[in-house]
Amino acid sequence: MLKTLHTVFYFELLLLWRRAQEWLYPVAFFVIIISLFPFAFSPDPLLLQTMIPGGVWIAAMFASILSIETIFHARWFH
Amino acid sequence: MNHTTHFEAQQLGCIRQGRWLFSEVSFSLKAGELLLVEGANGAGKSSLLRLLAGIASPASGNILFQQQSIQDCLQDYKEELHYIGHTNGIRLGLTVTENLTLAAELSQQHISNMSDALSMLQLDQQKNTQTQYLSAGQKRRTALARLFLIPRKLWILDEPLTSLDAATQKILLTKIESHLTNGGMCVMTSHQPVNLNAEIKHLRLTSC
Repeated sequence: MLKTLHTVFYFELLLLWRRAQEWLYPVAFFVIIISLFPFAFSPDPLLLQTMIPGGVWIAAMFASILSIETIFHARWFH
Repeated sequence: MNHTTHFEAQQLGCIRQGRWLFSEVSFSLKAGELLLVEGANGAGKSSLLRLLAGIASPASGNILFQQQSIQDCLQDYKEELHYIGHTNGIRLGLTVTENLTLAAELSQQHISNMSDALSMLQLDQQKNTQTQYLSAGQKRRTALARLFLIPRKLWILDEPLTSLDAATQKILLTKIESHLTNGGMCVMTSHQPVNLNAEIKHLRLTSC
């Protein structure tokens, strides 16, 4: 039973690894948004300390929207 | 194998898109018999096979395996059968070998004759290729390899002969024949002629 579980997880992770664009794309998008903040507003550390925590959450939400489509969809095509 | 093996459908009916596809479909199958389901496109052959495989439940009627309704023992029942439908049931991102290993592991079966089955189905060259890069016939052969590797009593095959070449069709029919000789049962659909040295029952679906 445990071996079966292990095999199932192994193959799921292998599939995920083989279509890395599916999860790399949202991650890259997240990093880009975060790094644009200092450029868009100002590199002032004090201002960024108050702004960035909220910005991280918003960026994470946008990035996760990108991957919503593939959550159930992927199973049928891979 | 147990010769009391018995598979029966009583007055099955199926509704798709709010209309009756078929109703009052009954048959009974003993060990060593094959049921060939016939009918025009859209007559409900695939839907009937999905009901028999326990994937969908019938709008009316009963399906009995070993005198027991399959709804009462769905999990045990599914361990007795192979269902191969149009979509083959393979993961396109996995290689041929990986797909078969996964299938064997899920049925808790140790397989030792993988290379024999692969060479019989001429999949030797492709065994480490992801199935998404294979041709339709090769994908079909990958799905059919399960029949060669994992012994089950009941085979439910939805047009297993499509997209196979003549040689492979012959290999498959020989395999079905030996499955029946060993006391197995088979329900299949086909638009090609099925020449088998076995007891073939015919079931013709006509639209209501």
